[in-house]
Amino acid sequence: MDHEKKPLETPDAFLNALGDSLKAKDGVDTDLASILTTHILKAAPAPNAVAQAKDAIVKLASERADPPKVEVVNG
Amino acid sequence: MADPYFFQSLGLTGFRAYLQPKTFDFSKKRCLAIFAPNGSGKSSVIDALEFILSKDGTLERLGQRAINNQAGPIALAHNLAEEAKIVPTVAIGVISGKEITNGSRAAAGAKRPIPAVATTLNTCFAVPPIIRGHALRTFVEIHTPEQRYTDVANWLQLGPLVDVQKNLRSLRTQIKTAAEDETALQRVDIQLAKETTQAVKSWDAAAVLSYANTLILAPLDPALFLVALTALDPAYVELETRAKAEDNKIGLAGLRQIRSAAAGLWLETTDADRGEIAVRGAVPTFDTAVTTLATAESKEAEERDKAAGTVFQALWKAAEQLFAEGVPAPDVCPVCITPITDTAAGSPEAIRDHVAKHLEELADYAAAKKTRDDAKTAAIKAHTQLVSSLPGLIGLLGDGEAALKSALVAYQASIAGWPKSPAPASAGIVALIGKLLAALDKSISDIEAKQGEHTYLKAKSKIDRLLELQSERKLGLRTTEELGMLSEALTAQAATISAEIRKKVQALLDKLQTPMNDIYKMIQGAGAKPIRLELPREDDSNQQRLNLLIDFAANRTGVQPGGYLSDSQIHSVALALRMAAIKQFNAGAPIIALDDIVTSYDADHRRTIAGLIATMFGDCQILITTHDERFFNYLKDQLEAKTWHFTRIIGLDSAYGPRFADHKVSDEMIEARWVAGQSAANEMRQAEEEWLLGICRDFGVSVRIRPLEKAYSYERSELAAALSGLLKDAKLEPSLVSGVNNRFLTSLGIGAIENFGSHFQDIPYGEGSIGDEKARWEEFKTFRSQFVCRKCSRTKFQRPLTMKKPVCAHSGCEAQFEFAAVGVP
Repeated sequence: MDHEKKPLETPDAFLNALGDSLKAKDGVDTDLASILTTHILKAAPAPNAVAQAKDAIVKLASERADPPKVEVVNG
Repeated sequence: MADPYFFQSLGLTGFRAYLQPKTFDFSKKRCLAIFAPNGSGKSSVIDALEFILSKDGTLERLGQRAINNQAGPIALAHNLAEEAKIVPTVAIGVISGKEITNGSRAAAGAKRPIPAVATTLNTCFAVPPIIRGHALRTFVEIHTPEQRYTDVANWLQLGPLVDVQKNLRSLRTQIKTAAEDETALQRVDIQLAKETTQAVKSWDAAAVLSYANTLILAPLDPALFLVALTALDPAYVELETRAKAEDNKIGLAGLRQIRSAAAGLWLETTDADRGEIAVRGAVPTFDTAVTTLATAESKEAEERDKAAGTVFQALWKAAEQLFAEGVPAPDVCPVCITPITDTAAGSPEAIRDHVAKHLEELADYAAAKKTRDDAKTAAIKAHTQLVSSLPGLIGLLGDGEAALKSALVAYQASIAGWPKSPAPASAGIVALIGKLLAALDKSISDIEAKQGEHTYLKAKSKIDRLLELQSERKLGLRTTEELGMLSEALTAQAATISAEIRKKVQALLDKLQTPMNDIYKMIQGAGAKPIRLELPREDDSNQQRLNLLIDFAANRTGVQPGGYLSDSQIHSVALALRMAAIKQFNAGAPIIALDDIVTSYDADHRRTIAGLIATMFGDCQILITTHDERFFNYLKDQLEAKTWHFTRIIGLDSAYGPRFADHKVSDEMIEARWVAGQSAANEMRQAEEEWLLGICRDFGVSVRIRPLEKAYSYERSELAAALSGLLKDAKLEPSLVSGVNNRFLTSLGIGAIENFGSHFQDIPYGEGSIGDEKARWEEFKTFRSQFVCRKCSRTKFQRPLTMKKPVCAHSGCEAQFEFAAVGVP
């Protein structure tokens, strides 16, 4: 039997790499990817990680729905 | 890579079946096999491992303690431990390279902290190292694919990835729900209904516009008509202009305010019941008060004159008593001694009347004075009110009321001089106020008749509120739309993440699948259908499932094993998977504890499993407990003696714990115990049993097939009887042993246990002295000494089926067995 004793890649390392590749992917919503990376793609997520991520996504939707007015400064 | 961890020792004290301390030493032989009947304490050894490695200091099978069930952690301790003042403890020694670390864990009390060494070991156990036979089926048959996935993902150290997938699923659900949530819009509808007094209950652009035009703008000006509900609509712009103008002019509210201020000064009213006209207000109140005060002052002056002689008040009072009616009056004046008859009054009666008159005049004056004081207070109060009321109206009057304003200012100045100067006449000012009130009432009436309660300011405020609600609703819609897009993006990103995790998990599963099938095939034979470990299809939204599948037949591919495999095959699948996983992922501590794992297997499979352990797990530390003697013998036959320690529990002493006997007890071991002053009774018993079993095997005795409940456990009397029968058939008769009345085999056969036979009783040897033990051991050795090859003196025999008598097993001898003379070594 082939016994490969190479240590497994740690979940943390795998998730970090996964987060980076997700953000670098073409056409991906990077704001959303950042939220997922911050809250979900963690080896030891916060107990309320899902709630935090949801709040962040809802806030993002609100900001996109009502973007801050750009003030035009003359001169 | 660091040296792997192995157990160096395992000690149980007051734990489960073990009351007195028992230590298993793995320093010389790494692996251990324990044979014991059920209920004699073998599983307690595996329990000790589970306990010391457990996070919460208990055993899974103990469950939770409830009222009166004595379950839970309390069952960890031996039931007599407390009485015997023994602290229930499990201790381990662990070696890595040359470094030995020890640790122990209390098995009683609320706090049973895990020792550091156990925590270290746990970090090496990606896969739980303990496999219990009764739980094997669970994985294959009972567990759902989700549970299986969780287990395997944990074995593969992918627990966090399982959490990521679970969290992603939960997040997707919550975002989807949020995207479909209409609370914000419903809130707008509730507000809309309130603002429109239920005329429009839910948002409908046309209905809202119609409401604005019909019920807000039309009453003001039917020509004012919004084409769209927007601040840019020309009608809204016009409304804004008119509202501003209204705000700058005096509106209805302003007129009402002026009227209120004027009415505060003077107002003529009619009593509806009596039809009487009355006036009220600060001016008439002040006028009345001033008039009342003048009258009071006049009266007070008048009474004051009458009571000018108030200085004689004391005299009148004294005289009143002297000349009171019924009292003897003095004959002369008490003051001037003038005879009463000579005074102006001329008699006591006349004096009494005179005194009464003066006292009455004093009382009238006092009343008039009080009335004047009250009138003065009231006049001052009325004056204060009038002074404070006048600026209100003066301030509200615009240029169009200049005459009134001027008159009021003059009046105000005159009033301010009171009471030093007389109160001004109010008739003129009252007339002007009356005229103002009449004009105001007409204007208000005209406006109300024209627009009711509607004003442009109010109308604009209502339209603005509708615009706010419209804006809020649009924001809600846009947010929902954004959330919807984010929800779709989240689904896409979650799919990407899941696919990556899937790839990783599947790669690891593939790594596990091959060794698992190697083991499975070794147990079940080369023809066994391979087992596939498969995740759901990629397009399946729930990737957190693990399917165990087989291609059972051409028309039954990819089916669940539970429905097609036999009991032992299912056991084999689970056993192979667990053992392959341990082998693959527990490299840091290649330890396997197998508790009664062969109950489902027939003899051939048990032999195969023994062979499997020997050939594929030689580099692991294995602890096996079994109640199956045949499996135990297979293990002994196939496993290396230099690394394996075989022992058996020969009984469970409730006041001590399991009694062990190592499977191969040598004469030297027995001698060594006597030298140490210890009883060797159990060792003797074990040695005798081992010899009996060995010679029965060599001679090929016939044993009756046992009833099912004792399938593979030979009793000593059975073996003795079988050996006796074979010897009798072969006409072989052992010599009598000196000191033994009955032949050993015969005595066993008839159940008359005497002397020699006592070695073979089914319970541990009793109370004999070491001297007795030595005598009996000599008797046994004498008997045993007859079973040697008379030609070559070897002690291994065999009996081919065609022969009645055994022959020497040595290929160069093969002499037919005959009993040697007693005493031949």
